[in-house]
Amino acid sequence: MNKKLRRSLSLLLAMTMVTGLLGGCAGGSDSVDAVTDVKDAGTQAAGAASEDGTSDPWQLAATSTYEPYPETVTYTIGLRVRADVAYPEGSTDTAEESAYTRFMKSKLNIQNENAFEAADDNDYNQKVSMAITSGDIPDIMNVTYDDFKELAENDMLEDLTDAYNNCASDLMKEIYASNDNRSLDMATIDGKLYAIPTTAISSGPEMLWLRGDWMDKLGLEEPKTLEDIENIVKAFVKQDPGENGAGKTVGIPLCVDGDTNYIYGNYSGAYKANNIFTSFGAYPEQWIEGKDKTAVYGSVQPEMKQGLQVLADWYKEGVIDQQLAVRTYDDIKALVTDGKCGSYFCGWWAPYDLAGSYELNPDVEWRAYILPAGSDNKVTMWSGNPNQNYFVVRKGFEHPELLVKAKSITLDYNQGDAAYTDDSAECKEYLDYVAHGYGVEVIGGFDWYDAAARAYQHISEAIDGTRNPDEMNAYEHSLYESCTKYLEAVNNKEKPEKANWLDYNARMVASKLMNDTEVNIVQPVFFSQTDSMSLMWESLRTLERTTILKIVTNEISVDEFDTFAEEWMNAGGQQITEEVNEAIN
Amino acid sequence: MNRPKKQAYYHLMMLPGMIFLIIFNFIPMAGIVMAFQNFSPVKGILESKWVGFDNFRFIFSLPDSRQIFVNTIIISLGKILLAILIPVCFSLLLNEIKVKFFKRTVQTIVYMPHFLSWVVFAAVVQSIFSYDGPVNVLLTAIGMEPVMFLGSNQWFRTLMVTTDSWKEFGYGSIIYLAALTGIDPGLYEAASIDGASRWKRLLYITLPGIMPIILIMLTMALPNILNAGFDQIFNLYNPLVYESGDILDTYVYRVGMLKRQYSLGTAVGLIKSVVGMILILAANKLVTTFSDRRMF
Repeated sequence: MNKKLRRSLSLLLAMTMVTGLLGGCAGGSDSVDAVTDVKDAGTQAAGAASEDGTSDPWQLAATSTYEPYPETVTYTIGLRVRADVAYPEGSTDTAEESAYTRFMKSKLNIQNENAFEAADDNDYNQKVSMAITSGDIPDIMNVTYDDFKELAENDMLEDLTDAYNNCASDLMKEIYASNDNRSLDMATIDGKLYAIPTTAISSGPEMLWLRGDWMDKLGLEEPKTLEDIENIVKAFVKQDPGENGAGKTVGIPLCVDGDTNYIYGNYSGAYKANNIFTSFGAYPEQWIEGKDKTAVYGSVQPEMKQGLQVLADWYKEGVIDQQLAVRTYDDIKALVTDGKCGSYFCGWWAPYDLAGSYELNPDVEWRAYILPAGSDNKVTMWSGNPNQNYFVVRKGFEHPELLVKAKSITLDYNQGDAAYTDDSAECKEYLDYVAHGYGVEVIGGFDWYDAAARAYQHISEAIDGTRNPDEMNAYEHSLYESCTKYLEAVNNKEKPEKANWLDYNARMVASKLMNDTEVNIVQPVFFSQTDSMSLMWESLRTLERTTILKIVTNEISVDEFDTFAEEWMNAGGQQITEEVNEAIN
Repeated sequence: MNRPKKQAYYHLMMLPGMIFLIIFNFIPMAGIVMAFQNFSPVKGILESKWVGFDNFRFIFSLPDSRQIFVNTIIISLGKILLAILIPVCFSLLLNEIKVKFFKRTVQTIVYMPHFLSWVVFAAVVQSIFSYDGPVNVLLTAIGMEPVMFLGSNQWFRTLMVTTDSWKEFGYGSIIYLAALTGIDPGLYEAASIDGASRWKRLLYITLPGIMPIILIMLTMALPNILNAGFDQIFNLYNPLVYESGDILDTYVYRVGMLKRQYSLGTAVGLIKSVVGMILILAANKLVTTFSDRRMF
């Protein structure tokens, strides 16, 4: 079942990871003049320390970013691994002895010992639960928000405030600052930092993706308003520009398959209609600040009705896929690939799903639009949970700063330019591992909140000639090369390769649109869980999802929404709303 | 004289099974206490707060709890009935076939689906009953409106019961076919000499011959009345049919597993076990009253 969850997140996660992993592994040749940040900072720290009169190397290591420990520090960790993990042929490497661990040992003199390993998220979380239950947790773990909170509340975590203040690199602070330190706020309880969170990158606004070749064939104008969308999709469905046969072309698909996919919700999923709701000022499934400054649940606010009315009308008119209730995520993807569907909502990364349709039919042309705009001519979106997961340190571990130091080093090599200038054997081996996808990174890094927009800026500047192509991280560099190949092929009147088509459309076309379009961003006020939520939420969510789907499919009228909102409040929603307000005040 | 010694061997042979049973079925029963606690993994069983019957009260106070129990019982009763009816009819029919090769082939083919996982079989069901699938093509061909089977509260339960029977009847019929071979052929010979027709032989020899097995199968199926088939429903349902298709297990999965409500999950498990035990004892009583067979 988690297949779907994983799929919808996989793109973004994969990109985050790839960006993180590949960062800084190419283009090292040209950066001769750069000063090695690592050594430099290390020396500074050492200097500062000796000025303070501290000569104890342990003390120095505990209060600086780059100073290694005088003796090897062994820490235990619960490690997330990959099921398909591979090592170079003939090597005897393991997750406890690989290029990553040797690299860390050479930089900080630390060595991991794996208390447990698990590949699958469910397995991992189960092992975390087991470790918690048995009271024997490893020194470092990577846990979910719920586990993080439970551990912190039961005083099982080390306070990392000092460690972060003393040892976090500037780059690390900069990356957290790219989302206004929201990531750190989530990990802070009563003013104390209890985890180093892994950031989630912004998915950007939702876009309407339309088959441009169909629009040209039918002579349709670019859409601007809700009516335009309706007319275009109607034309697609009725006039059958894809020659699928009468009645075989479907309208806008909405996915309600599984636990994570619904008509609205997280922007990292496809086949939703968030923009329709936000254009009327409704923020479904989000805890937002209401009119009287208290937190309210978006799905039960009266603004929802207008959005629902649009979708219900569209369903009646065939603008929305008639079979939305029973289609799986894969079904929809297949419809899009086969050219049976020429319109859907998705983020800038839609081309990753669309490459199949290009492979089948090189004439396809997808165009993206950020619409419909609200009354201020801008599209509104809400921002997502700032974090993916939380790295925590066991209470009582002697070297809590170890986590911060290792993270800082990793970020220098992934996101920064340390790898360009470091010519140590360990770094070379490390980069080789990254390039081939060998092994598992033990501590790992995280990405900028606006990683996708940054990538677009770097790539487009390089294409325009205003940036040296080597002055970007390696993942961006590979995208840049792919995009130039696409442009070359187009210039030579050749058919661009699928991979280049994908990268160009995602990184240059859609990302450009995202970068150039100003949108309003609504910040939800609550991402966590309250006490009653853990028991009552599912029953409320079932009520919500069933009712909304029935309204959209015209089984009940939009007027029933008021009854639903009232029922929701009475069935525990009122109590939860109060708890949420208590929690944020 | 040497009975105790002889029995010692048997006991020894039973030992691994008993150890297995104790380790995996008896010891974990201690975990039932979680049903009466607000269990938190950090605190463990000893430290977690005792809440008495709160978890049970909560289950029955849920706005949809009545609907969920009704769905569960209807779907699983339907499945239990068809799981007896179809395999019995099928094995009776198959038993009449004299061509050995054909009989064997059919038997193998029909029990194949049993070995498919519901994840796979659900995809088959989905494509057959989809809006543009073969069933609806057929319906439109004879001039009827196409039906969205998997999105319709009128059809969902029927579909669950019939597709389950479709998947399992072949496997279920094995035991009846075996029982049929155990009927004394002399009875049939005597009956045909007395001039009994095929139908009469079926009615008066075959059916009574396999009746004990049918009763035993029924008794064994009843305790599962609150298990309406998680795998199947989970792979086929959607929010539109929660009303008719959401069963205890899928609900608990959504609340308990995804939100990690261990206590709630345990409480539901306990309810299911208690209901199951009451039913199996009652069924056994009934069987002993109405026939000379008994299970225990």
